[in-house]
Amino acid sequence: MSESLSKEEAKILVDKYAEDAIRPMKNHKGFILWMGFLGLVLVIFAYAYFLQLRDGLSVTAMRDYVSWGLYIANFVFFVAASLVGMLISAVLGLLNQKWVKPITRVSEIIALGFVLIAGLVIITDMGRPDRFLNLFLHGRLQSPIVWDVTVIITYTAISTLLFLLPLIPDLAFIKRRMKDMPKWQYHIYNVLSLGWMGTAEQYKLLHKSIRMLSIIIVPVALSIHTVTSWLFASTLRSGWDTTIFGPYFVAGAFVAGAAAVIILMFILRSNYKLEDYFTDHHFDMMGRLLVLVSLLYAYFNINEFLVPAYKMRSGEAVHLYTLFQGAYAGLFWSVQIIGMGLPIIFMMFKEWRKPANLTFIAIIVLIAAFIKRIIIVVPTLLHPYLPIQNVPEKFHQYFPTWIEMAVTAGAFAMALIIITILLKVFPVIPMWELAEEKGITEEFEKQE
Amino acid sequence: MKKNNIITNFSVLLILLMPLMGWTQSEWMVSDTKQKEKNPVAFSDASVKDGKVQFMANCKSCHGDPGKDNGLPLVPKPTDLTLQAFLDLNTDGSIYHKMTDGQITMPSYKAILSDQQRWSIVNFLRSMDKNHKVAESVAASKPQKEAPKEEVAIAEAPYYLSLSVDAAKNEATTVFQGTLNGEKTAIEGAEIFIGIKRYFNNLPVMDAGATTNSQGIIKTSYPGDLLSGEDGKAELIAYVIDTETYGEITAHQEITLSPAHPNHFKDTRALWADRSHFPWWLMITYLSIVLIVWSVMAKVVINMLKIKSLGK
Ligand code: HEC
Repeated sequence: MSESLSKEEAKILVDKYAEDAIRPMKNHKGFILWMGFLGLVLVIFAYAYFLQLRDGLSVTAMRDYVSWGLYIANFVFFVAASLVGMLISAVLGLLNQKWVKPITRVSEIIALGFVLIAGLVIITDMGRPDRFLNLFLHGRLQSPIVWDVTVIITYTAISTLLFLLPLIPDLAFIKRRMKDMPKWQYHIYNVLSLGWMGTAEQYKLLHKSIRMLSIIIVPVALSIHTVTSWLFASTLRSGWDTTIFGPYFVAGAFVAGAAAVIILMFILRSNYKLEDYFTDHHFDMMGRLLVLVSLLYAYFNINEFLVPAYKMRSGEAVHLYTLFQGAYAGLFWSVQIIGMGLPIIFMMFKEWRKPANLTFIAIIVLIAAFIKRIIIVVPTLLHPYLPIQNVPEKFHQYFPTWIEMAVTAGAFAMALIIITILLKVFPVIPMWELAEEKGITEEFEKQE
Repeated sequence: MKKNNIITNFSVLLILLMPLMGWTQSEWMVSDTKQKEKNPVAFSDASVKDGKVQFMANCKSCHGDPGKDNGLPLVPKPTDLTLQAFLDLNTDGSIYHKMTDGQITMPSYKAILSDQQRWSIVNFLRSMDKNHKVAESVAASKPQKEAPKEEVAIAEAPYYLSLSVDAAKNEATTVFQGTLNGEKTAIEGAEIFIGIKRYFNNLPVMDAGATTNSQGIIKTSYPGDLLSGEDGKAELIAYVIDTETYGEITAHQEITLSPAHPNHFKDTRALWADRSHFPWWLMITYLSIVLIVWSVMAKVVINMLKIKSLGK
């Protein structure tokens, strides 16, 4: 794309970038309404969590057998959704997939929003959150939990850097272009743009740093979800005791993350007239990407269920029967068919990769991804090796209480608040990268 | 004919539903023929004693002490099987089949106890039955069950329990005595727990259900090859089980079992060890990964600072 543009054209294009990038950052009614709604969810969350702190985890439906419930399923979901930042901006970026450029920031924002809250979600699963520090004081290096904490902190740090670094030229640009912004906002841009002048040397350092982060984030992101899967796979329980859990989780994470990106792209595009950046072509490509990762996920699913189902080893069989034709059959088959099988088939047709259609599919896929996490966590716990005997009826099943649902909703609200604020404060379009592609960096960096 | 058919169908259905009903209603279903089954094991001292041993070992944990109605508070409650009401209501066959088949929380003992043992438990329960009439044929050899031996000594407090040990033979002897007319008198037929002290609960070494003989004595051997600490020291403990009648009476005796070779279990570096005993390979892997990743990040931050200084 190096057809050179004339000075005039370049100027028009850069002005357009400025206008389009600043538009979503302006205040409007929808924003207040949306934040008000999220705030309300947070208030309910606060009350529910207060009850949980006061009365302990007995306010949840978790009991002796199902000791991991909605919270852990939600945690796995959050970690999964955060993985997409790595997939889109690092893997596809390194593979030189040019079309992915305008989407990188959206995916990084999603990654950041979810990974920042993932750690908090774990804390809501603790009856005594005041003992959280004990993990650092007394944690055993041999425990996957400690690895998980390490890797989540690391991934959060890298994601933050990978979000801030490519923002530098854009923030300097916005600082020049955006009029009548409050002082604090100017201040943020001033600090975060690091006195960016757009010199060749600065560009060189920037490119080098982004490349370094893009490379290092790949193994870290893989390990964040692999280690999360090891929290399950390093036990002997039926349904978790499998060697395939690492890649199975990672593939599932790509599916959830890609779906989340599609949804956010669609919201941005239709709310802020960003059709020129999130084009039909982008949706088409994201649709193809979703098919690809879904196929990968389907492949792991077949391995995950078919191989043990062929052997039907006694403990495993009890678990599989529950999923295939028992209490969880309805959920299981809907998730597998409606959430994975049908979307793959539909998305093979171009018609269904159109923005609205694809978003519809992405919503279904995302919901299914959440339910899938519950199916991974709960049924296994209902089949301990020791029979469930002489215990209250409640111990035999698990259905989350309203408090668990409210706390989970609160976690979503927090992630969405972070995402919304990031979208408000920072330009969602990576302008300098687009300018670079068009060969108009000079115009882009022109100081006024 | 037709009507007959309906009735047959209906009863077949009912029979098919019976296990289900039994499951949901916790009603015991023991068929007539099973109820009428006769006890093939003759009622004898030996059989009663065997039954008692089996009962104490297998059933007591849920059904409680015979005659005390102190079974576990389960729902449905495990009946005290020595209550007259229960014994009057249930035939031998009925008791036998209930323990053989089990139902919900009541385990099935079909695979756990032999036929002989299960019938012996029935005999043991019957030995508590005031209305039990021993069948004619066995009556001749009827044991001295009714013999009022127990009434001989009505010893009173204070009670004495002594515990002595023959270390060479690994044998423990308890003597249980009460007071009669100011003299120490042996108490017969009392159940005494003898065991080795452990954390949380004691390891029983006496025969389940063993009672004191006419001299108030119970002898038992204990496993001398048991490992216990670095010096093999352990404590033998004996107490009278029937605390309601006798109160809390215990005796202790130090014994020597086999020394456990001081192992350096805790000093092993392993995945399962405590936090200070992580394996080195793990530490090196962990540290190097963390170090590499964070130094890349540090390098990026330095680059950012460089960008900043270039902007001045
Ligand atoms: C795990 C605890 C447990 C153990 C051990 C146990 N039982 Fe039971 N048993 C129960 C319970 C609970 C019931 C009541 C079940 C019901 O009514 O549905 C019961 C009921 C019974 C009944 C029927 C009582 C009635 O009211 O009709 C018999 C007979 C019986 N048990 C015999 C035995 C014998 C003999 C043993 C030992 C060999 C034994 N049980 C060991 C728990 C136990």
